[in-house]
Amino acid sequence: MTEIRLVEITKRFTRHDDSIAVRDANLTVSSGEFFTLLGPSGCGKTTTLRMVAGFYYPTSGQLYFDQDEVTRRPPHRRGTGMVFQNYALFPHLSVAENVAYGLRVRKVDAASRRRRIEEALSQVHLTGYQNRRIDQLSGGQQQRVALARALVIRPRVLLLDEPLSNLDAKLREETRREIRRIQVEAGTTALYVTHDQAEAMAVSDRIAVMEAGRVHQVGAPKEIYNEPRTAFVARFIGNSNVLTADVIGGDPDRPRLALSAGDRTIEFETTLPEHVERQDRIQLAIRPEHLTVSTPDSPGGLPATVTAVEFTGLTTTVTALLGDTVITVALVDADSAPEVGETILVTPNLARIRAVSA
Amino acid sequence: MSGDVLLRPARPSLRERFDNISSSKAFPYLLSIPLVLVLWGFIVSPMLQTAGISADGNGAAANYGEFLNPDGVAMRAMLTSIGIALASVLCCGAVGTAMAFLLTKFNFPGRRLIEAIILIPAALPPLIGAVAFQMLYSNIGIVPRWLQSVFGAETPVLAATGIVGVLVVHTFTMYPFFYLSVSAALAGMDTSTEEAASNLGAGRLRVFRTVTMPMLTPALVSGSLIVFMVSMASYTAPLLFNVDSMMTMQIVLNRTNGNLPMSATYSSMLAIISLVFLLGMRWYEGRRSYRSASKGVANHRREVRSPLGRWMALVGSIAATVVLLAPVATIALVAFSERGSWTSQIIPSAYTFGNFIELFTDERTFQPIANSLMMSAVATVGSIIIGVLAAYLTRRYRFLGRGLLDLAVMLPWALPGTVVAVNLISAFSEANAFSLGNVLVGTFWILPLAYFVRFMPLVFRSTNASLAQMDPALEEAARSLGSGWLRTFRTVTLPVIYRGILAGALLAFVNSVGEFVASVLIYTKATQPMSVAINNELYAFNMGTAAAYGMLQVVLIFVIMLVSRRLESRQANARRKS
Repeated sequence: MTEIRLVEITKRFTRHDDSIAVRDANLTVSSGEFFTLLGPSGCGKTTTLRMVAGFYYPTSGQLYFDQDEVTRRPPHRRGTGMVFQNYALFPHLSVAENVAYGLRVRKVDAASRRRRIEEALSQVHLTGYQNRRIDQLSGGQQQRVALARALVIRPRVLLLDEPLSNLDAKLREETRREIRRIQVEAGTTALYVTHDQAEAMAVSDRIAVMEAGRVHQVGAPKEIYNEPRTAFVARFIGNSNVLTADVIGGDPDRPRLALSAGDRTIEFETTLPEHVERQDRIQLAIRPEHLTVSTPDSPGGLPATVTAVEFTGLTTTVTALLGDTVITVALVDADSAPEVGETILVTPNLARIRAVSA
Repeated sequence: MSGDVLLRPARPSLRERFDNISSSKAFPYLLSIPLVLVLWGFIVSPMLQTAGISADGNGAAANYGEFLNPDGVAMRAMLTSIGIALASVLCCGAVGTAMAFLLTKFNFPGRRLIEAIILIPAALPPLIGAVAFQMLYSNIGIVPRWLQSVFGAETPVLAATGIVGVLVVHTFTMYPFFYLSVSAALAGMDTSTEEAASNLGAGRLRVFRTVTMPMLTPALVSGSLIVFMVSMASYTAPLLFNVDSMMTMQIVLNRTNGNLPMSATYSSMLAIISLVFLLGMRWYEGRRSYRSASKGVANHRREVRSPLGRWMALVGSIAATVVLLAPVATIALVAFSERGSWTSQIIPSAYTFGNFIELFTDERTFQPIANSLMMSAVATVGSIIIGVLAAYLTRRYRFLGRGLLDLAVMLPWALPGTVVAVNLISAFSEANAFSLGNVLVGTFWILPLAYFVRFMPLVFRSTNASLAQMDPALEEAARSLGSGWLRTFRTVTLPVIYRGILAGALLAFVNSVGEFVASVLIYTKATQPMSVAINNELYAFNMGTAAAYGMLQVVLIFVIMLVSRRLESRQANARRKS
């Protein structure tokens, strides 16, 4: 079992417009942990994974597997097992030969090779598929061969680059449970890349949320969901609304804030988490399900104009314009939904409001 | 730490040192050293030496002055060459585009047959093709003489001679450049764009003018550029139809007359034109082409239904089939003719297997066959090594000078065979470092070298295409499983792309066997290849022997075409399934 440590890792691609793909990343993946890099496309998550695999070398910073510095070690001497987005199975080799590839490189003798291939294939429920050609397998089966090929070498670190993105929705859920089970069984440290937050939440011990090359927050799924540190994390995880309030007094650590729209203002106090800068204006995150809607003649609330109403089954999502901010409200009761163009009053559940940094 | 992680000794082993080199930034430069040496020694430097020779004699100013003199022979040759090239573009464009439209847009009796044989005339080696057309359509040809007897005329009727003859050969052998590019464009075109236009109220003609044509422009431009250049480089057609006033002919004539500087001047001018063409082609292909994002509705062939249309289509198909198969049929016919049986007759009067038996039993006639196979094999091996290395380098790595390397590899593809030969003569008439201190001209090695220079780009291109279709993640997967660069290349890259390499190599081999244009300038008696032997037999009026050699080449080409088609369809199948 291996701990992965990224110290001040920066990756700059010189050939394009000097863009910084990853900026000062400090991450520690504990031994045996299932750790996910989560973020929208272009956030640097795959670049980070490829640096751990050795396909890119960082522009600056160090990378350690336990005490072993591997920053500029060629990929084939890192002992990682990688599952690629499109699986990258060798089309000219059979299933067994694909799985055997890494073992042959390691000069494992034929007898134990056969035994370990059998083990690995049974682990991914593909016993009996040894002699199939790759093009005779379904997408889900190919995915499992790729997993077996990566695991059979008993890698120090298992790397997974969006391994589920080519599967259909149902298979995705099954497979992610399988991956998690196998990882726990094997006890391997896993670094997983995805842009799907539900997937990340479901499988991970901890998640690093990334955006534009920057790590916004690292934490357990619940922590990230309930205590987003930045406006980006709040929006990306759970689609929170982010509103800006003015500080109008009170203690610096628990200021009195005013949220206004149209001719109405809501005043309240909230405790600022330590990382939020003490400024005149504070950004607040609130989830769609923590907003309520009432008619314009009722007391309290902020006026907003409805721009769209979507019935999604479980809830009805109302999109409205609050001042110049687009907000979404999730209503459980579809019958109380307003009409497009109507003016409504939106009231936040003040206990669920959370201050975030930019 | 788990069991199988490779143990690392304290001091790096030799293998580890290579590993470190193979993943360092210097590695592509290291790999390109042999490539740069070969390209410089056998392609670029010979070209520069020819340019040097063009400044000999009366000096560069005088030579190029003479060349550019508006009333001079050279200027007339250049203008004739350009004029023939332009006319060839028009003829090939009309025939090739029409064929592409007919075969992709309509369904009619005989369509499949024509589709199967449409590339045959162009697949013939340049010399065989030209000879076949001479035997068919020139004033000693079968068709004019038959028409003469039908109409009882004094002289052969409708005989193609001189420039017209050259144009006939060019049209029949070069229209595929248009046919292939236009039909590929039509197949890749989303027919729903045409449907959208007619849905918006455009008539059939307007749809063609405003939607179809603009989308075909890239195909037409690249077809035109290639036909123009191949026509500028054409040597066999003017040779057989006695058109001396063309640049390629003048290069050879000046050389034969001992005016080496002038011959070099022509070569250099032609090389410059080729280079400009290659750069223009690059530039044009680099621009965005109109590839439809979605396939939409699959291309639907319109069925020809009216009785009159079907009759016309049937007659047209039969005529087209006869015309397309006539060259090969003529070569076959003459190959089985008895010596001296084809003088004033329309077709030979007596037939025999003698010519073929003689080819394989007579030492004198067998030697060229052995020579050609041997020299082509040597050239193909070289082409594989250099072509694959170059393709791998330029496809997989980004490094300084990559564009230049890519251009240098493709340069000989754009150079006329005549110019390649003159360049090699310029460089290897004396001993130099790249010939390991030997004079190569007059030895066995000069011909394989010429074949290598001319046809290595075919291996490069075909390998390049295979590599482009190979997911780089395959190599990364191997690397992450612990395989070093060399092992990855051997166990993953090569097995995945070998079909592309093989197809390119077969093409290079078959082109080498049929090569005439460069061979005729640099062969020696002992190394005489098949195509030169054909030419010499023709001069000796041994039509049968010449045609028998020709048949051997034709058979070889068909076998190799079948093999490559199988390779291609297997590759396509494998891709579709995965």
